Amino acid sequence: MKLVEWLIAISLVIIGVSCLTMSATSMMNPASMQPYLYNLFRICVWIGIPILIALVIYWIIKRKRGDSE
Amino acid sequence: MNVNRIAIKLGVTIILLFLLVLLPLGFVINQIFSGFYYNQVQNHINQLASRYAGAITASRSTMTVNMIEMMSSFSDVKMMVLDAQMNIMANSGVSWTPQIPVNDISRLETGDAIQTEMVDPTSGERFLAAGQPILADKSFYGAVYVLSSVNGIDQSLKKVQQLLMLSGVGAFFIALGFTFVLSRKLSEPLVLMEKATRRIAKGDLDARVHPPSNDEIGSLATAINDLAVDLQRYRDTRREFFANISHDLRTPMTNVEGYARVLKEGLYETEEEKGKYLDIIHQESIRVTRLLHDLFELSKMEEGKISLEMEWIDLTEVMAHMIQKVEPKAKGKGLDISVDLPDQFPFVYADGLRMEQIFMNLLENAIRYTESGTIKVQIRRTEQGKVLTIVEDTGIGIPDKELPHVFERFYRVEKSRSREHGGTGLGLAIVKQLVDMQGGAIEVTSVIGKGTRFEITFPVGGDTS
Repeated sequence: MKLVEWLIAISLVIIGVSCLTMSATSMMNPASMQPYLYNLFRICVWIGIPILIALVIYWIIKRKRGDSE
Repeated sequence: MNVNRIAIKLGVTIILLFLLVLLPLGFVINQIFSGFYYNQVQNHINQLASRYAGAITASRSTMTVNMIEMMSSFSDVKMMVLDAQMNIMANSGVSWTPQIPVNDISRLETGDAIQTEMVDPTSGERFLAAGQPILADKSFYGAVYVLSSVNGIDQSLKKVQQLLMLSGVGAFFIALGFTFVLSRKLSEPLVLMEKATRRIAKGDLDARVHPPSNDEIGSLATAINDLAVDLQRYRDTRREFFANISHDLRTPMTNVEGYARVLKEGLYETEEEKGKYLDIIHQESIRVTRLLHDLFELSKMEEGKISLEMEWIDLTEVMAHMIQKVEPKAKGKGLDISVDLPDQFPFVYADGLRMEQIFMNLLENAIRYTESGTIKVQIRRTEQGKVLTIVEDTGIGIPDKELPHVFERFYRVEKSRSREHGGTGLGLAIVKQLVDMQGGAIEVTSVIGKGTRFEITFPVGGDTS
């Protein structure tokens, strides 16, 4: 993948995360940036969970294949 | 931009699948929120109506009704108290005279609570309404209606819907970003393989694909690389085939032409010299005939045009016969032939003449490439019950990297030397074809400078009787 394509993909993810954070924070009527940043962190954690699961599965499969070989 | 690409198709499919899940999920979440809100308000006004009706039933005085009317005016809900004829006795915030349906009245008279929706005819404002009968001593005295505006709920729900929509768009963008990377990464090896295959198809046989993983894609990349190697070898072999065939035909034909001219023009001095030249012409013509015969045989075998005369044969007898034939040649080179053939041996279902051809080729090869030492021939049964024929020499040997190719047409281990030895480069190719055709298997092992060993196995087809 080219650099431009990586930038496009990262931008799309950032836009998406921003939309989710705005959506999660707006009902709280935040007076400061803290709730926004806190929600941003929590959304990133939720996004990270499936990625983490995928990495663990990949690692397990790779390890099993290594053992069998 | 070409949209007919695997990455785009994959990306669009993933996004459509995502939308397939996201849109119904969004609708369901919206329904859950709406239901929850309406339910909360309805329960609240039901409780209020029940309490008001209970208080009025208990006292049945106008003062209580007035007090409730006053209390209600302080809350954000509207209330009205109706008598048994459905005339308004007390009213808090209801600016119109609602028409109670007959069906509802009869239900109230029987003591049932009513949950309904009312609309202000002047403003068009919608209300959720809860009606509770005022019953005392089984007599119907009227009803209490508590109304709550739906506008507030609708506004809240609209806000929630907007936020759900925003979060849906956010989720869509995240999915789009990941799908973009995923579809490119998944399709990248295929695109690389397609490019490499195109290069190979155009003749660039050095093009290779790096196997990206150990799965089917990696296997496909390896297969493409193998195909390129095979094609390269095939191209080299074909080139070599034409070079070999033209060389192998030209050399004897040049000799024949030269010596024939010498004889025609009488350029010889003695009869002995003439006989020598005729002998050369004879030898060269035999060489050409043998080459053409081998080529013809091999092409017939490869095209499947050869028919086998299968019968029960004694391999030891066939081998003994062939050894007898090649023995003078081996003796002429000072080679010993060590034979180990059992007396009683199972018959094998094979073509006798073709078996002779196989053994002859192997024995001649062994004699041709062995300068000194012994040629060992052995026939025995294996532990698996098969018939094993071994022809082993103490010749020059074959390098390991050349071993897989020795059964290819015109494949010569040492190109120039093997031509000197008189081989056509077709003998082992013919042997392999004949063994395969008769259901056998041939294997070769070799050590440089020590010798080469050919092992042929055939299934047993009969017994010694």
